[in-house]
Amino acid sequence: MQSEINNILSRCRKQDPAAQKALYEKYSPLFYGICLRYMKNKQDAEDVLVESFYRIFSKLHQFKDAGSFEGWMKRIVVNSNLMQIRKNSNLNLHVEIEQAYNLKEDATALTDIQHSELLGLMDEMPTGYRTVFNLYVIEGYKHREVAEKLGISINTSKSQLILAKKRMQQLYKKKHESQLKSS
Amino acid sequence: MSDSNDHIRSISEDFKPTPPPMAWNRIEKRLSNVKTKSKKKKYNLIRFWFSIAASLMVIITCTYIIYQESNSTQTYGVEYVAEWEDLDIQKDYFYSIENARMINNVSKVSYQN
Repeated sequence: MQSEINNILSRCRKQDPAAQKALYEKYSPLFYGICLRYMKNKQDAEDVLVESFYRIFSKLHQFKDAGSFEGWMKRIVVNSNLMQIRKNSNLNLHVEIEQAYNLKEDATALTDIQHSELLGLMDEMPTGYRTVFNLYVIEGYKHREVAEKLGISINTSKSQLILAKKRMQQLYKKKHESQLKSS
Repeated sequence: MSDSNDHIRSISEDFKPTPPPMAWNRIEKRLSNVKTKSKKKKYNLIRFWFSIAASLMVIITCTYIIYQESNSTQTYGVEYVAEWEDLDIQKDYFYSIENARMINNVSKVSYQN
């Protein structure tokens, strides 16, 4: 498995089109999934996917074999998404620490959510909430790293996350209640 | 909230939708555009250095020829004039007018044949 990736990688460095396509076919579903979580529509997600792969292929010489290749590519994909978000819209990140800290979290509220539902809920959230939620909960970045990436304070990152989770829980409950009523 | 975080992370990692079929064509097109541009850049760079090398060669050759010309003129002026001054034209075989005429006739005959 690793040797196969190394083989593809070395051929991609020589700009072998077949190897580039093989790398795309292997990782594009995973990266398209990431793009769909950050972007609000499929067209934007496709644009970011194209941009991400273009950047991966053109920066391949910068990858040192020491770390994880998949991790390195994922970082490029996430950064491409963040760049697109900055280009398209203002993140609307407000410092609402007090308001956020007064909210209580329900630890079990989203433990049975399906991915399609998650995507639906994320589409309904403001860009800032969605971005912080993606970076912290799904990508596993720390608040310090999220703050650095988005150019905000650590407290803003924390408050945005709390508000994002709260909004998500509310939307999820609302949907389930309406489903129960209709059934 | 770590329970739901873990759940959300795990379902997200498993989410691998099929990308749109045109995406690869767009990537391929962008990559080929870059290749063409870089080839053009490379070609222009080669052409630039080649023209500089050619210009240098012309300059060096011209300088060498001019130097040689001026140098040989001087040498001729100093050495040959001295030789010509010491030369007894009447006695010398090669420079005698008769011999010169004879050589000239012989060569004309040989060319005609």
